[in-house]
Amino acid sequence: MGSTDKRLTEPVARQPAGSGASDLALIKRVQQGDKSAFDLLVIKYQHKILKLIMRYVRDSSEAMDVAQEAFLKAYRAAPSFRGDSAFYTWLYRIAINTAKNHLVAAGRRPAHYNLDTQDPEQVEVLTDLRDLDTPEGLAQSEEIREAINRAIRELPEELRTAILLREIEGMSYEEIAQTMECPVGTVRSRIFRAREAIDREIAPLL
Amino acid sequence: MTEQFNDQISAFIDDELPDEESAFLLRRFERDADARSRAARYTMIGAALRDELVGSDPEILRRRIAAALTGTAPAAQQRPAARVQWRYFRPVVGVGIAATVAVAAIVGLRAVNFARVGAPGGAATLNAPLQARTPEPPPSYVVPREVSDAPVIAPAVRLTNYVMHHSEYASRLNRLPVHSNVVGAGELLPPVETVPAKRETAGE
Repeated sequence: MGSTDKRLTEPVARQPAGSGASDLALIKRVQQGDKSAFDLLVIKYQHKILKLIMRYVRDSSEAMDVAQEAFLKAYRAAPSFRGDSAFYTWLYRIAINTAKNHLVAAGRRPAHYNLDTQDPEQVEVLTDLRDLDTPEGLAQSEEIREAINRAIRELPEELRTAILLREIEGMSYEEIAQTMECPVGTVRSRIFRAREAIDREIAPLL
Repeated sequence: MTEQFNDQISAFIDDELPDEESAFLLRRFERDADARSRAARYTMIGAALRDELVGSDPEILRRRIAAALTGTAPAAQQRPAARVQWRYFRPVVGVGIAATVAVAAIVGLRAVNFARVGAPGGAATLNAPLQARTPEPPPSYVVPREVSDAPVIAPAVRLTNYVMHHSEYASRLNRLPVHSNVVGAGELLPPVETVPAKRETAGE
């Protein structure tokens, strides 16, 4: 079962559901010089890209620098984005290459270990990367996480189901509507109300 | 911001907002920082649920990138200021307190000596109004004009020399290695003139 090949299994980009048209519209605006459109792309993908980079770069502040560099590279290369692949897939590759180049420049080899996240022990490896943050940052992140989990538990069941299907399972509104046997508009409303309830809990902490 | 607008932001970050509404929202995002902050918090919720959360500021990376693109320093954070990292200032504060105490001790010691030996002009000078004092040539504080019968605190010469030349507050030009006086090199140092101790001469 365990492979003797210890090479890093590069994570595969999982395209978020329903992101194609919106990202394409945003990148087109970026190509026309709209920096605020790029702002929104950063907001959308910063967490995913940061977590991806931290598989290569253990230090959180260093990972932040690499993530910044990756996004800036994407911005400078935006005119050459033709839409052959999804924007997130394109950004994903840029982030991985930037992280690897950073390690090579720093004289470090990219880590070679099996990243099968089905293995609970491997999940702990990813968790440890986060623990390198400052104590204050860790405490605040933990506080925010706890507030979100508490708010989720207190949500009515239909709101909780809708937001978890969206955020954890990555399902589109259409898919959630079929799962919950309700209209798409109802799904949109439930997800929004769930976010509002959670936002009320975490806004004072930010 | 209205609930309808917030609902549009929620759908937008899920890429489920129709094109016409998206175009309107994008124009709103250009000038509405609150709208961007709300979008950042909504995405942060998803990141936390997926265990992707890195750091506690949902906009730190966006601010850095925006600053890099415009070539300006990031705007000041609107969050409450982080607590001062006092642990970095403790050594500095400690050295400052130690230096203050040492200086106070040295000044106090000299003041005691000065007072007991007798200042030039005596108490009258100290009590006279500042405006009434006539300028006098600064007296030597080691050779008083008047010698009182009070016992004098006069540290031994060698000890005084040692402190003057080896303490951490001594001038680096004069500071000597610790063992210098052990081998008698202290005799080569210029002695610090002090009032001869009355006790040393008494009874002779």
